[in-house]
Amino acid sequence: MRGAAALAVILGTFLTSSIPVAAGAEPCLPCHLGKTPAAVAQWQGSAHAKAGIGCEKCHGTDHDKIVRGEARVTMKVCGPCHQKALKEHRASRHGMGLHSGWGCTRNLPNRKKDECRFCHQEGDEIPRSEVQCARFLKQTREMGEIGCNYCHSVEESCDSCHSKHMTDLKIVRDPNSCAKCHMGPDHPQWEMWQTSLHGTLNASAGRSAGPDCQSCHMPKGTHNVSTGITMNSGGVPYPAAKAEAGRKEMVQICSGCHAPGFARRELERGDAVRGQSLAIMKEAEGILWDLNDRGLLDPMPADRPPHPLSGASLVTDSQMLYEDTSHIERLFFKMKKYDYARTVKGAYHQNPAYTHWYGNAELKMDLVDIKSEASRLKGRTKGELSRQTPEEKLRTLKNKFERGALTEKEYEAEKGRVLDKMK
Amino acid sequence: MTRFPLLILLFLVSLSSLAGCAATLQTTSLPEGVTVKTVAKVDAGAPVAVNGSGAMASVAKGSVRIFYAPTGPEPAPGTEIAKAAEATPVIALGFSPDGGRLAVVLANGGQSILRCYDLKGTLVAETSVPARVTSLAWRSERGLLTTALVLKKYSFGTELASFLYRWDLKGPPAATAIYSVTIRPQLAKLPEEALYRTSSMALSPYGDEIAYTVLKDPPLFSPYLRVTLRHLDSGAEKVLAEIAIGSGGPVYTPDGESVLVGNHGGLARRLSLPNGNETNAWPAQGDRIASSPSGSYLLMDGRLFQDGRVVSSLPSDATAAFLPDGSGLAVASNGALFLVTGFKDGKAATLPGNLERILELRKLRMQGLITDAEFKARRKKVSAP
Repeated sequence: MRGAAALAVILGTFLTSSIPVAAGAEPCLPCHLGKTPAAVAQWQGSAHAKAGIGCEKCHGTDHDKIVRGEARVTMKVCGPCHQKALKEHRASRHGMGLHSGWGCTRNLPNRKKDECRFCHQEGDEIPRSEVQCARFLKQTREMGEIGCNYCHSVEESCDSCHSKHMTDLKIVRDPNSCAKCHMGPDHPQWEMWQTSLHGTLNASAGRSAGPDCQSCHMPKGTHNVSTGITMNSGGVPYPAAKAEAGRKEMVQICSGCHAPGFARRELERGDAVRGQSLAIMKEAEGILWDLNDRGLLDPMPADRPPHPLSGASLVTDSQMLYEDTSHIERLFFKMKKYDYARTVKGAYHQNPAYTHWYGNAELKMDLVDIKSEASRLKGRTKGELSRQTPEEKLRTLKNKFERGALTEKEYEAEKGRVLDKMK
Repeated sequence: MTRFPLLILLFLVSLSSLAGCAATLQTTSLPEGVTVKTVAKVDAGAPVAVNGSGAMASVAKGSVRIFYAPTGPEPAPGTEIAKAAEATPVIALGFSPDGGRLAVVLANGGQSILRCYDLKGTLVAETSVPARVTSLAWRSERGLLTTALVLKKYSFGTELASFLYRWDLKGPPAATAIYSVTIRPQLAKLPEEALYRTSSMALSPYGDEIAYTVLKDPPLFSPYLRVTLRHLDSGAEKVLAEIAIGSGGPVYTPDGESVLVGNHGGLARRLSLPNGNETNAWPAQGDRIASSPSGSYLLMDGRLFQDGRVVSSLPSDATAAFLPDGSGLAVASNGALFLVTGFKDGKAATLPGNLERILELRKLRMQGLITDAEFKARRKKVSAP
């Protein structure tokens, strides 16, 4: 051990004497060459070191605070020097509150006290973000840290893409840097790009023949990765005016290689697939709500742990859960979050297998499963339906009226019939 | 020379206290036929309860005692029911519907002890809740309801979590969380007792619903109290009104179709249920409100209204309860308990016939399954002979 320390000091002396040392780095290097050699080496090779940006410029000088993990290098640290990048990032989906939008965790068991800082800052009376994520709120702390934060920290951490101490742009110009998050069952953009014509040409003939993620989604190096997008992250189309502006941007990007008319037609074909897929999904969603109206979900929302944001309610929007639900909701979760997303994103990424087999075919088979499960649930209680109490019948009618399945006139007439039959 | 008259004065003062020198209730002129009797000495600010047989419960020298109307000129000593430790003050008292039992709530820091005694002082049941009880109501002879608050302090404010406890006098009380709010540091500086007073509850004469208050502290507006109705069996809720902090109520009118609320600094109001439309108002802040069994008399901030007119005034610090037959009031003021009788209250409101069906309709209305108009039409049909 003593020999290793001596070697580190010798090495440190050599390194610090052979390269220019930024102001503020000198006091850190002797120890950190031994304790965090990779970080030191990465920093020494970075543009920061060359520009004289030392450790304390980003990390501060309170060593105890750094050790306690309270001096993280967030965008607030990088922003003052990289204002253009920060502004573009904040305008993009990456910067829209993914990380600080978990919802309040203070009543959760095993919460970490310093989690408050994600939503509140000193002097805040209300949280800074109104976005909340039901699926995060259901996780254990450890699961939330690895399974959620490793991607969603992109909101506040430049190092989510750029790495912590390196500044080489080849890292972030490589589509692999996007793959860390943009892969897997819910949004396999990386896989669908790799196996699309764009991706295969990129692999065989290079970037000039096959564009990558950055070519289309970060044109001219912008940090606004939402340029040219016409739907939200759940695949719901934007309102016409917003969508049209996005479409113009994307056609312009495609026009770097293709004729604008061709690009527009290709994208419109993607729109058509999206519309057709949305119709299939809405049919399934209607079946779930009808079962909920009739009290046939098993278990019903009132008979299971409450949804962290909506309580004892059926949730089929972007906050729906894959746990503590009925079986038919779990089928719908897969349909919506995996298969609908794969069909639509596959179509826009020009990937035949994702659009069809991994997407559309699964989507249609999901609908078969959901209809079959609905029939089973209805059949199971066929006899019981006629024995519903007036209160249960009125609740079914109210549910149907509130979601527009009954007109006001029909609702009043149906209610009158139920009340007339009350003993 | 000056020492001798001073000794005489001290002797006279001692003599008068030994003789139980009665305090007097400071009132403006009383209506004809209304008389006041001093019942006993009680602790300042003590709660008061009264049952249908005229038994009055209050706290004297830290002990809960039951008093009866004195037959002679001397105050009654009362029967000691429960001795409370100094650290656990009595915060609420309530007789059961038939008057045979007395519920006593003792504060124990942020927790509370609930006890039930018979009129001889025998402890029938006891339990505790991990929250400060703020209101008490008997739902039946064997069922108590309380609202309670838990305060949790954070650097960014204080969380007030409201709970409803249902106690069957057997097992531990069942708790239902009914509301949680985090107030900002400025408001959280109020004394804890003031924060506890922001929570109050009343039980509908139908016994199926409560009206309760919770504190709201929205970021861009002044804090206020929200009055909410809650159907006990279904849990259905409806926001009734927003009133100023410090306001009294809610108090149900005897017919169960309206709620009285104060509006600290404004007019006290009667709000029809379930929509909260104002149907009457009184020139009183309404910080403390009580209604006689028929509703003819109202006591608001010590002012006694009869059919909307002020007929007398009691001290502003008085806590009072109407006698169940409406003939008077038990009043605690200035360290003494008084019995004020001779009221000409109207006939006490009774619940309508076909109660089971009406309770069912009320439940449907509270859940929003039928409208108020549909409820009224069906009630009329059900009540028709």
